[in-house]
Amino acid sequence: MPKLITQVGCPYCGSSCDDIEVLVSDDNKKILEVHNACIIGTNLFFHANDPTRPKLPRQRQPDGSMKEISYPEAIDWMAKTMLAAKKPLIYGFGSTNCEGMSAVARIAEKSGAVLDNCATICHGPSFLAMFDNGYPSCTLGEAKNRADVVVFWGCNPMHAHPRHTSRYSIFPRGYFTQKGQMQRTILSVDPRQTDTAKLADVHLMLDQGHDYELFDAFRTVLKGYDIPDVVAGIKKETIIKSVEIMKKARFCMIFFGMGCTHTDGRNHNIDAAISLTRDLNNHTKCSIMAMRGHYNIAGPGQVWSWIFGFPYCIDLSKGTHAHMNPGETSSVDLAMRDEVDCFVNIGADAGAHFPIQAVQHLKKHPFITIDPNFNMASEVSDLHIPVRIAGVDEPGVVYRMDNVPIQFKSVIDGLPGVPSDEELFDMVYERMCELTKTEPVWLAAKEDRKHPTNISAVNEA
Amino acid sequence: MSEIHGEILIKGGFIVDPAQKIDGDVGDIAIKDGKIVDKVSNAAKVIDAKGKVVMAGGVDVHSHVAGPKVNVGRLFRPEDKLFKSGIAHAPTRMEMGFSIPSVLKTGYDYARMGYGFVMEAAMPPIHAPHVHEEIHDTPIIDQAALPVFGNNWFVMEYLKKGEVENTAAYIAWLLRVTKGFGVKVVNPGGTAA
Repeated sequence: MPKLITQVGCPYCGSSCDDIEVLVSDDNKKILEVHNACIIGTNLFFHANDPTRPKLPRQRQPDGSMKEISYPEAIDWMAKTMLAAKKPLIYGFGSTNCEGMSAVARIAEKSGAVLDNCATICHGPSFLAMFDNGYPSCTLGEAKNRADVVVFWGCNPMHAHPRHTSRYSIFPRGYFTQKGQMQRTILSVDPRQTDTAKLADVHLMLDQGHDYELFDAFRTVLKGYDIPDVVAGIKKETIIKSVEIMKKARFCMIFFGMGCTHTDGRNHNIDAAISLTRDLNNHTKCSIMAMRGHYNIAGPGQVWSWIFGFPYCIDLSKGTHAHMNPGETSSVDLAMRDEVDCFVNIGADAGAHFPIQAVQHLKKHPFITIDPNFNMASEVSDLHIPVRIAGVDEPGVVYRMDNVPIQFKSVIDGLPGVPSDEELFDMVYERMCELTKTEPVWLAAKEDRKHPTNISAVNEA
Repeated sequence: MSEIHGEILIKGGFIVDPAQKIDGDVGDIAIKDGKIVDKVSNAAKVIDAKGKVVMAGGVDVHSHVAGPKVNVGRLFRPEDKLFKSGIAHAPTRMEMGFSIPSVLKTGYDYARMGYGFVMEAAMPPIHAPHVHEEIHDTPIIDQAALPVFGNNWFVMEYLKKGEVENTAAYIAWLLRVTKGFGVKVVNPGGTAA
């Protein structure tokens, strides 16, 4: 009899939907049906059925081809390569669990690496603004139950977070929002006519790259001062009308995306957005939230904050203490200056998302990809190590875009012999300690760690 | 947790044990397989405690060392690490931060001060996994956490209707699912009223 597993977390976007139902085959090996998820989430579950999924590490040969090798060989090569490197860069983590992020910190510290995550190319500027100006945020539950005015600034959830609007921001009926969409006024600030903008009551189609001026105009109007007839391509009347809507809200919610963080102004745009949120709290309740992209991209920001005190761009190469300085210690900048001599890409695809010049520099040195699937990074790698898929065949904690932790389940059995990220990192760390003849620093709770102490047991399992 | 095996002899410290009215006497403590015993064999690991106090590990019943609110503090304050963090030496990991220490610094510092147990006194139920993840990553010391009930909407609704048994059932359920150690009540109704 196929089994229906309920309350499953979805391994796609930052909405981290936890109401998915998955029908799995009797032998726990195949996903038959996926209910409730969006089309992208559904397909991510079905990818796990793909019989061509890699089951063994593959290493690049002198003739350029890839050859399958055993896990102990791959672990040994990775440990030696990272120890030999003066400044390895470990990047990724949007799509894995927090257990893996905690385990990789030991490797990073041991090898004197730079530890960075996908925020470096998406919401990194938001972190910089938070350092300067705070972050008056809330949970998505509060947005659903309270917000009667919702502003989407530089984001398009209808495509990027397909169920965000139905679960939290436009359509759902909540405790104080019992009429759902009827009760909510939606503003969209976007230079494009997006599908989210089409749903909005007011669409401010601003000139691209002029977000800061528009935020400033909103704040100026809110403080009772006059503004020019047109700001950032938006008419004065439209701005005044929009500010009035926000001011008269019972609870105003501002969601911002990469239209703010990666256009002219970057962190200064977010700084202005946070100040606008604070100003609005003089009149009503207002909250702000970053539309984080991947299902656990908020995770490394949390995990590495409690381990190192920094959310991203963490340079551990001094060996004694961590150091963060985006621009100096951020992945793309390091790569463009050719300052790293080993690259480890984990649960992300630097091959697809980094500038080509950055990838060309990284490719001069050992290039390792740790990912359950083939992707652009794995295909240019010197070593590709497959792992289980967090949220599909490996359980774990993930952080939703509002930093609420959610326990994800595994719905099917993992591929035989394929370890989780955490198990793999623990084995690499153990090998590094063997090679350097040092004692591993396990935490007390690590005495009951999951991975077998004998590495070769993994391949026989 | 796995069992602790082996023998340890703590030599020459000032022993303090109020329960047995031992007040700073110089002596030896023998430990076998995690328990204090009369004597151990010559194979025991000897720890020289001369000039030091030997006592039961300290218990901090109320502290804020793990979970979302302290982690926000760590995240918001990169300047709290600059020139203010310790310098790591083997066999410890890096210890970052001063006013809001990392979980590693928290564990090491408490251990250095002689503590063995710390109670995290405010665990928001929705963030319970976060608190437990930080406890998991904190070295040496044991930790537990108290779920916060002060501004809990359901508790306030039950109490408003005078439904004491429902209140108790709800609290019992929340304690179980959050793996809470006790009930934290602070400023009841303060923020959501």
